[in-house]
Amino acid sequence: MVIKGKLSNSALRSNIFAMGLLVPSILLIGFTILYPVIVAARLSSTSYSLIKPGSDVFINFKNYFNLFKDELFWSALKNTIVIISLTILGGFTVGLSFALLLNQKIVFRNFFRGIALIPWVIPGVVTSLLFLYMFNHNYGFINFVLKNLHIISTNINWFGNPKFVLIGIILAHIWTQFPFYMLMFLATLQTIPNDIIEAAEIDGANLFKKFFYITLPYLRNIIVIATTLMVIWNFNAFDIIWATTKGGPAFSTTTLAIYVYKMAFTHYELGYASSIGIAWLVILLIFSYFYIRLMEKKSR
Amino acid sequence: MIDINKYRLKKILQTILIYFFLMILICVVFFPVFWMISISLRLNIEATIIPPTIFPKVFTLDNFKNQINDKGGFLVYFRNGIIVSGSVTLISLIVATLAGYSFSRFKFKGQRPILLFMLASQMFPAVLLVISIYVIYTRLNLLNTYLGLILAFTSFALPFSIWMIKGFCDSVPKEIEEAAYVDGCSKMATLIKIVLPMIKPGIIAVGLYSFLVAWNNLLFALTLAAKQDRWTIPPGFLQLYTGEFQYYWSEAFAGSVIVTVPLIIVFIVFQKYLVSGLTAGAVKE
Repeated sequence: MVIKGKLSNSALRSNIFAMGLLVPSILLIGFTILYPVIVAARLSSTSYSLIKPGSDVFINFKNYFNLFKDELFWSALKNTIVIISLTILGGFTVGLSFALLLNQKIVFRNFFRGIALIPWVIPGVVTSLLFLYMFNHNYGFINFVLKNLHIISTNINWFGNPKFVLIGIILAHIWTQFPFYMLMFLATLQTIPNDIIEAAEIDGANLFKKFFYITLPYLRNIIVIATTLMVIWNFNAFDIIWATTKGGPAFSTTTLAIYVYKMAFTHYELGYASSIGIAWLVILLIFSYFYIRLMEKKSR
Repeated sequence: MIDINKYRLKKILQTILIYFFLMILICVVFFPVFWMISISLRLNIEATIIPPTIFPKVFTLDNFKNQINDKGGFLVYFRNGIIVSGSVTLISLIVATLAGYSFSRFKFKGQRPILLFMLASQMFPAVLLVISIYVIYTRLNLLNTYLGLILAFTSFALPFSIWMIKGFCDSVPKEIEEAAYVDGCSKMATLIKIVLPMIKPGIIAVGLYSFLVAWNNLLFALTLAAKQDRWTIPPGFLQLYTGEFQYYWSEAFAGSVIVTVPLIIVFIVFQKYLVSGLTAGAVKE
């Protein structure tokens, strides 16, 4: 009896200690994430504007009805989806190719892996300067090369022409993001036991068979996790677009993130901007739910 | 005989092909970085000529001198960046270590929902959070303060940092701690003296990650510090080099070299830890 009492006593102390360790993070995350989300949800049902005094009034779901009728919202959503899908497709392909390459028996593997981290470390603003410079209309390196190869006859205004601007922005995003895919895939590839691959080789499996029957099944989980993270992060992508085009020319690179930011800090419509953000959160939640469900079903 | 020769030839060809593609990788990654360094070492006139020159014809360090002499306020942004990112790194190291250890070692009621909320918070639109943080900060007079920036960046870096520390703690065997308890070590002393040295790679990974979050982030810095004297590097550069001064390329890239090259070196040196941190939660060995 005495021992039992002592045990539960120390278990209780353990619990208090464990919760105590969490207090600082709960306070911090509560103050700058949880509380702001609640404030945002409230803001989204008001007509709050920074430049209209007394506009902080409750208007129920009116913002959301307006959202449905707002053509700019739908084209921002379309731009977001186009940029995200092409960025992820490109980042995935480049990342997987380099991961497969680095998984071969090569010298200096760690050195190459370290190099691939570089684009990921560079601030978005600096990446933007680099791409603005390389894709410059008049003296950019890209125009110079394409012209000398006779692919184009006159210089292209990459970041000033709505027809071409997505190319530069998507390439800049792929450049910064493929390292993440590569690292995730490489780490997983190195967990595939060698004897499985050797057995397949003895059985005469060729490169493609090895890839589709061994490598890909091993990668399935990480593909789901990495892609979900990528979709979430890319919805948030702001720095490169803001630093290169601020959403222009016209509306061609205005994604949801840019649209919300402009609505809030150039038009000062905080209420309406919040409702767009909440709608986007709901879209993401639905996407993540179905995507993860679908992938779980397939892997069974 | 012929078969063996054929096999050997195939292997050699394969190796050549692999290294050829690795060269492409290096070019893709390095070319923009090399270009940045090369432009920063030349006169601005030479940055805008056709055909572009690979190496500077006239070599100069003036662009770096101008930055260090604080032309355009570079030093202010740099100092702000160091103050903010340094504090963020320190705070999130302490806070994330405590929380990650707690999630890894103890089981208690309400733990799972808290962990799930932290992970789900990655999904919240940053630009939505920044609107409400702006409103909250206006009321609390935290706009344009270091404290405001530090708090926002820290929480932004925390969820993933906690996740990384949890992953590293999970890989440390429990038996050693149990032995320490038996020897009469308190729980806090065990965490500091026994666990901390064993998760050193995790500490390094979290430190690098949270420094980078604060150092590179544009959105929060731009919104929460509207005044120039509190700007960190991203909003500072945006103002300096993408507006009316868009054509001062060699100065812009000299600044870029100063703020990125030291980071690149640190990351390459410690890449092993960072990679294991990034993949700790997602990749199960």
